[in-house]
Amino acid sequence: MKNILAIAALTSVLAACNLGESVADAPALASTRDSVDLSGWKTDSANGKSFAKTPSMSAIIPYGGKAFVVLQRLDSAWTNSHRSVVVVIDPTTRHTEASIALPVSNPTSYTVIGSMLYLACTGGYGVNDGGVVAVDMAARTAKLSVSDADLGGDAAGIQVSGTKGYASVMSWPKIWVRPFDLASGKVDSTIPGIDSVGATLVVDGALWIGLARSAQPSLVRYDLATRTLHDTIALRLEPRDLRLTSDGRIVALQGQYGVGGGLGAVDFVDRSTKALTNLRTMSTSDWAMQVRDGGIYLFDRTSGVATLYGGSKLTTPILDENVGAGSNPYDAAKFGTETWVVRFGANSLLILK
Amino acid sequence: MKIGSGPATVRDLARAKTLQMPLDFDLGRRSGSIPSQETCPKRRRIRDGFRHCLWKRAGMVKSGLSIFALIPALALGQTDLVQAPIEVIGATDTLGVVASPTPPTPSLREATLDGREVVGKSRQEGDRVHRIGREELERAGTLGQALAREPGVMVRQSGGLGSWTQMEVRGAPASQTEVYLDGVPVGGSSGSSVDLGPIPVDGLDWIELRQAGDAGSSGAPRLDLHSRTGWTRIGGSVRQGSFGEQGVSAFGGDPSGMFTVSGWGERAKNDYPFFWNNGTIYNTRDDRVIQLENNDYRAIGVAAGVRPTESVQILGRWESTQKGVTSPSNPDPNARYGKDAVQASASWERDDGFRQHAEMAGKWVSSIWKDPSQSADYAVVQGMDEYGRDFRMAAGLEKTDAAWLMPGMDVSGRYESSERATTGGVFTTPDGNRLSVDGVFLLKAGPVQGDYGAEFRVGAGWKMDRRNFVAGISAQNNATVTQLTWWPTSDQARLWFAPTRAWTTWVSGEVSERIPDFSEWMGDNGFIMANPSLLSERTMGTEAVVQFKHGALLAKMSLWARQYERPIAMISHGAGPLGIYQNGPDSRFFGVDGDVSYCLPFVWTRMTGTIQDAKQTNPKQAIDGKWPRWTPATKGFFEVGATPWKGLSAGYTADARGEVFANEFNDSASRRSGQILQGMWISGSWRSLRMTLSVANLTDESTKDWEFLPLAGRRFQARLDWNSNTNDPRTGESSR
Repeated sequence: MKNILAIAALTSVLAACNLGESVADAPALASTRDSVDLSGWKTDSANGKSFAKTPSMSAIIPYGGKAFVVLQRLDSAWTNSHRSVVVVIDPTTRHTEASIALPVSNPTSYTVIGSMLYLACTGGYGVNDGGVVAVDMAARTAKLSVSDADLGGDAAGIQVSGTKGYASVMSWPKIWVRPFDLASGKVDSTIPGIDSVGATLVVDGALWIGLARSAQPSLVRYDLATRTLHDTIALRLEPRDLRLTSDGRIVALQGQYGVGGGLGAVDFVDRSTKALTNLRTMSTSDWAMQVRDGGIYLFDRTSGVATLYGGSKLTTPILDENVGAGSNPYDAAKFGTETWVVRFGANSLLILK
Repeated sequence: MKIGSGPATVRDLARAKTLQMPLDFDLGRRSGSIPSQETCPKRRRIRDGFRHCLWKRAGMVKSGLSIFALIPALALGQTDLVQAPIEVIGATDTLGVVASPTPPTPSLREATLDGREVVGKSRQEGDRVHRIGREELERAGTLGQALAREPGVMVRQSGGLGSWTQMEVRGAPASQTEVYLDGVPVGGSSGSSVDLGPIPVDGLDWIELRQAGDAGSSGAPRLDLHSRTGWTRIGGSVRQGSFGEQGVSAFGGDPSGMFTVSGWGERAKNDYPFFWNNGTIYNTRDDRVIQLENNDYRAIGVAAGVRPTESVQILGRWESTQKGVTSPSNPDPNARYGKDAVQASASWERDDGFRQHAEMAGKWVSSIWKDPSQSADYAVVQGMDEYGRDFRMAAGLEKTDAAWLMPGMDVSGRYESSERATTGGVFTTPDGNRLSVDGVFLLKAGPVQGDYGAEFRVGAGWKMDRRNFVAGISAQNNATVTQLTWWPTSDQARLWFAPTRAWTTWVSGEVSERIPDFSEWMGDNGFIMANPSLLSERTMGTEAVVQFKHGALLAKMSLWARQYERPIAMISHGAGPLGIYQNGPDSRFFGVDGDVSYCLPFVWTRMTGTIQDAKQTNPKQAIDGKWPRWTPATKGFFEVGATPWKGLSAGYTADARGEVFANEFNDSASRRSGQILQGMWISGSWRSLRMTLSVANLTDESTKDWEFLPLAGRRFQARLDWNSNTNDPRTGESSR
């Protein structure tokens, strides 16, 4: 109870206080707002458990002019008694034209390679009922690439290079990276020396691994050809997400739990010089990030603010909107002049025009 | 009857009954050997303006004390035995006044009864603990504000009346301060940090704060809260303030001092306006002034006490609080948090050269958090219930006959249990219980009539913890772990020296350990994992204190240093939402506390201040060596008051805090400027009635960066108090 309240009442508040920020010129406000109702995808209480109030949308992927929206559909036990789905929405009509049921539940992380959407589905925490799902967005089908059971733990992240997938596998308290064959699902041994993965990112034949060691958070490069580790770069905090910018820099979202809401930071990592350049520091830890649409989206999941940094250096705030207090934004993508924001804690996608 | 020749409390009660004097005592308080004092206690007598008790006291004192010992009390208007600390000068078996202009002979030990010190036979430790009495509590308005004015204390408060409030003493995490209510531990293994916000000041008579190095502490900071009582008194209060603040209280007791009962209630809407940037730091166009709904708070409580015999005291207290759970970033119209607690304690004491005491206490706590809108956390949680029980028995033996060596020993046993369950179909939290036994050996050494001495305190203990995840979805489902551990408790050593009657000095060193609470080592809510190997937090500290007291001047300066080792903090561990409590890197604080008061019959002032340096070590370069968030290098409090005319008094207060950083990066963007919050009050008394008008945050400072939630701006309060003495049928005048 103490922790629930602490997190709910303090952490969320602190995030909203926006402490430790530098303020630039005010970006333009969105002129209008619209939404796409997804409340029909909520789970129900058929399994005897009370249902969540939202469909738990966790990601949005633009493909083929459509919006592929990932819905976890959690029930009250943080599992999904109904299957998680990917719904396909036409941005023009805003109607859901298809849904793709996932063979396993609780998609928490994804990567996109062409028409393929790879989802790391955690399932229940500590229960090997998830896996990595490959969704063919063109064919609108989904199949299990590898199961939790084969991975040896909960699938918590996924990156793809060629025919290989690299799953972050969580078996508390260890989190390692396990390569597997995308076609056959055959798993290889885990990458040695890696046991506290926070995030991964494939760039130019290398797997960059964010090590979330609380004492020494760092970024290491794993050469996929030679299967060797290189280039340890000290990070500010534990890495939570890694993304690649259009100019080849890695953006590292970092966070740390702590008294008063924890800490957060976003840094650019220059792969050649190993230098860090700070974009923003935050006084709380619960943030999400996306690099898309020529900029960097940063989501304050507790206060419900979505910020888009753009410009030549990706440091200029060009959008800064509260998309709903408590709405818990996770992801966003542009469709034409509209920005679609996925909100985990809401029943509808928010559209900023 | 000779006061001081036998068990102090017994003798005093007997005397009180004989003389129809109002006396309070607290047998359960182990810190009873420490003198304490309020700031300028004489003021109250000046305002109350009665003299009857003075002569009663004089009559009482005749039995064993030179009348000259009372003269300082007369000079200071110290005419009240009920709440005013009293102190003996130069003689055994007698009573006196703490606030006397000359210091006590350091060869005497003083036993504290509620509001009084009674001389025993052993030596005096030579330092004093500041007591925050009724008037200071009332002027502060909240317990947190009263404590924030103490040197070395940082209070973190989120929101308005009744909101979450925690106290950090000399940099110590809030969980390291031991909080006792009527001698019963408030914190416990089900959650060691105590929320001071929902404890109404009208439910308290007085409080004492001991620094870790003070005599009477266990080596950790200690806060003693004492319920509102009405031994031989009767009275009540009503108040009305801004933003829906309302309060009412009543207390009373029989003239013989055998029974007392009190009750209180307060509530507030906390609908004050404040600036809100809508969470967007770049976009200023959506900034606005807002008011929070569902930010209300209410509390009610009852306390009662019985003294069936002269050496036995039984106290009970029930209280219930409820408040809304909301925030500007996550407004929730329906989330509520409520807590009910019942506690009862019985204590016994005798002293025939060896002080013998025994206490037994029980506490039952239940809390419920309802989140029907599922907006206060991840969407699937709808609420949580928690039930806790806490039973404690303690006994001790201590030599009180003066001697070169005066040993003592205390043993105690405690059983705590906690059950938590979420509602909405999820069972994610564990049950747990803890059985602990600890023992403490005490030794005081020094010449019987000397002006120096030493004290030592060594403790050890054993605990058995057991947890059980009864069901649910936790990543560590249905795990049952039993852990048995020996652990060192707090140790302390003090050396004191009183070279003259005006000067007292002491140095102390202490080591204290805080054992992980249930939530920390068992995990919580399904996403905070258990860590059975979690070590206790350890704190090492030292302080050197010089105190000067002459006439109306009391000045105290403390140089202190604290090192906090293995602090327990929750960390993430890689991808996913799971967290775990682990022992973290050390932090170090050192500083200087000052406390100066000057009290004349018609004007008084008090200034407290702290200058400190804080440094946290961390292997992360971005944090290493930086200041903890919201920790100022300087803080201070200033108060001046005057009684220009009989029955009329007024005062001014200023609470100042220096520059702070909003997070541990300490970058320029996180820098927050210092603030000064000013207040004023005016009070008029007529017979046993007193009317007080006050204003807090006089200049309406924006406190959006003061702590987590904005505090209220300027707020007013009107308060009417009635306080009468039930054993003085002639006048019914105030005995406070």
